[in-house]
Amino acid sequence: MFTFPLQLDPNAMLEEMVDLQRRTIQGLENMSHLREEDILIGTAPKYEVYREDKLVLYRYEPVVDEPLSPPLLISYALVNRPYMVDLQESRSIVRSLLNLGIDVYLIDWGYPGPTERWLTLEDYIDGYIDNCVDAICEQRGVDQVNLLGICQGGAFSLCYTALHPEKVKNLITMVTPVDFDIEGFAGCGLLNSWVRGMDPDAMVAAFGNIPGDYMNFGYLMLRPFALNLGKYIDMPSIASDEDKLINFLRMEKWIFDSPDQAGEAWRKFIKDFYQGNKLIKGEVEIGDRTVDLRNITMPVLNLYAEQDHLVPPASSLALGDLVGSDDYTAQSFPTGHIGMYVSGKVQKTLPPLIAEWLQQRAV
Amino acid sequence: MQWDKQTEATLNGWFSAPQKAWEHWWDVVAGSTQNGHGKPEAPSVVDYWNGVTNQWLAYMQKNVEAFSPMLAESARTAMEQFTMGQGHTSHLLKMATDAWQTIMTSAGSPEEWQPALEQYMAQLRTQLTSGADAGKLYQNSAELWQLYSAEMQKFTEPWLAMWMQWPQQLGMMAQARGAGATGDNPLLAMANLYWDTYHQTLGRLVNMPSLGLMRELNEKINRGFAIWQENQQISFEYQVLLGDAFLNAFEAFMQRLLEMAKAGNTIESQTKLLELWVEVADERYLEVFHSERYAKTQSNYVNSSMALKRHQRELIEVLLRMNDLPTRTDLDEAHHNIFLLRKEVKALKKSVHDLAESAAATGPTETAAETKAKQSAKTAKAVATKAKAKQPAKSRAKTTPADKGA
Repeated sequence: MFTFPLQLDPNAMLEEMVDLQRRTIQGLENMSHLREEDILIGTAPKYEVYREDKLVLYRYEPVVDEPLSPPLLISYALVNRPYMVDLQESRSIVRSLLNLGIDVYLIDWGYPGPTERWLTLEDYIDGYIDNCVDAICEQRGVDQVNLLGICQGGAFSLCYTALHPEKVKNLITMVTPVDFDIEGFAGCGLLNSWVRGMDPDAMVAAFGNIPGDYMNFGYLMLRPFALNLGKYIDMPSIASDEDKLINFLRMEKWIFDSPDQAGEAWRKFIKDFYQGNKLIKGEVEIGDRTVDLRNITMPVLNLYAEQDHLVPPASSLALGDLVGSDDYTAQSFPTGHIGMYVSGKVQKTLPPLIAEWLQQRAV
Repeated sequence: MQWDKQTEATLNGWFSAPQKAWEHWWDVVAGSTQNGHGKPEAPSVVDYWNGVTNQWLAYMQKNVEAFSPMLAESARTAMEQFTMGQGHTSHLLKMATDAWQTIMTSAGSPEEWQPALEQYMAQLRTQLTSGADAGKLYQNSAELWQLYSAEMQKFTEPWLAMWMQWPQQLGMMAQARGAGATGDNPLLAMANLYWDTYHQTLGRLVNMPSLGLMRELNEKINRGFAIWQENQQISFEYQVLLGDAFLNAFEAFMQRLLEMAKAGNTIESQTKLLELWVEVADERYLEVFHSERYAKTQSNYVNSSMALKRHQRELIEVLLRMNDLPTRTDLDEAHHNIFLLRKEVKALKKSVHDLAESAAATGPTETAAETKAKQSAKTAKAVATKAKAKQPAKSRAKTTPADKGA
């Protein structure tokens, strides 16, 4: 006798559907009490210390009397918003670092508008990052900072450190692409192959600034069904629990809060990094200077995710052979790109690792 | 508001009536799978099932819409995604049930399942690739034919040749067997025939140089039409590729169900069904996404869309200029000037800051201050010159007097 694998008993299906409907209504009721401002993100206390154009540099309020010096400056990617490092109170890299005695600063790049279309990588790296470092040094009375670059912000940090090694005491890169010619499988490294044949000049000419939603569509296509359908299967169950619902919506808000990309900077990043793979060849030029990763001679901590489909581990690991540092450490975590910020397990291990590594190199 | 009670009453109302039909549907499915040969007695029951779920979805949509004004943006987006997922489940279940019934009807034993599945998928491919798309081609061709008939009698022959070949192409499509994955797709061959004909006729005309007072506008319109045609063609190729990906995913999904059936495993809820689909479909789509062909087709599509978008803007700008209205190019120029001026102001501020610091450090001697002021002015000028040097030649030529004086 053949067994039909879809044992969907009509009565059971009816019950499932009614139950689904009941939970959906309950969820909608819960949702209707929520306002956008209830979905709090980035709540660790902080204050503005420097502002330039649309960039704002924040200092998080230390929770210890004498935080570690020099301070840690976090440079996040231009894609998506930097509050991912402080998504919610129980999942916050920033809060954990503060509790471990680190003095944390964060660059908020803002939302580029039409006037920012002509911002170049030089403006971002030699301008904004350098000015933030100077502002911190001036305010804290130090000559150097510790720099933590995340994802694309990690690539920027590598460029900055190679060009201004005297201003960086220790460098930490997190899920940072270095070799852009890596392609794996099951969605891993797909961005590298997809971008290769695209014409950045045509895109900047058409769009000006590259729309964040356009970029986001590309990211969602890396797991088309899981990210567009699968994630929402349990929506009614999630929505019937207010805490779970708010946590879910925080992540949704972050995913779809995508700033546009400044056209000129995006054009060069795509051409030089993705298409030319110039970072590992030592051919990236920022202004009139060439980025030579061998100038990075200070201690380097390279953090990467083992199941990262956006930045394949091999892409990050390429850094080890390129920097001039004798004190280089690579550390992996058993999670994906986003899990580095939100995984409960990683939250318990990643901030202590950073804090300990910095404390050992504070003198 | 008693949403729970209101909803439950409504649900009970329209769920109690079709209960027997549901059971009948189950009998049909179970019967056909038990004897392996029985033709479904009432195939419309599956359609009925689809109707019920669609009704439920419509109701769900109404609920979401009713709550929508009260929902935060993030919440509304999430609920819309959820509703879309439910619709997807409904269609998936219908497709899977249809496929199962067909396979069980033609297969007498588990050993025959595999060829039955392959045969079913081949039929599905033929249906999906030759139905709607061929109609679209016909529609576009018919429009072009009208233009051609009215104004371009001399281009008659190539179009006639195309019409004569059409039945042959349709025959090829009917015999398609997983053709998309190999690149030998009759539908694409059909499309190429269409585009070749276009280029031999109307394409020639629109590429002709324009003359007269409206030359610029005409030239842009003509060129835009060609860009649009190209974009349509590339878009079509991209859709064919995605269609193939879907068919491959569905075949893998059915394969997984057959394997489950052989092992005696079952799926007992729609949620589990959707979870299985998500897992299998992502696997198959990613296989396609990793292919060189997909990367190339997608890049072509993006690049072509950008060219189209840019050209549409250029066309609009001609019309705006005719009506003395500012264009995107004008705004870009203004924003660029603001950007450059902002840089210059920053450089000047930095100079003033350095000057003040230097003055404070060296004391208020007039000579030192003057010297520093000259140095700072020199630095500011150098920064401004450097910023201007980075402008494209065209932009530099349009630098305003105010800009020069800054």
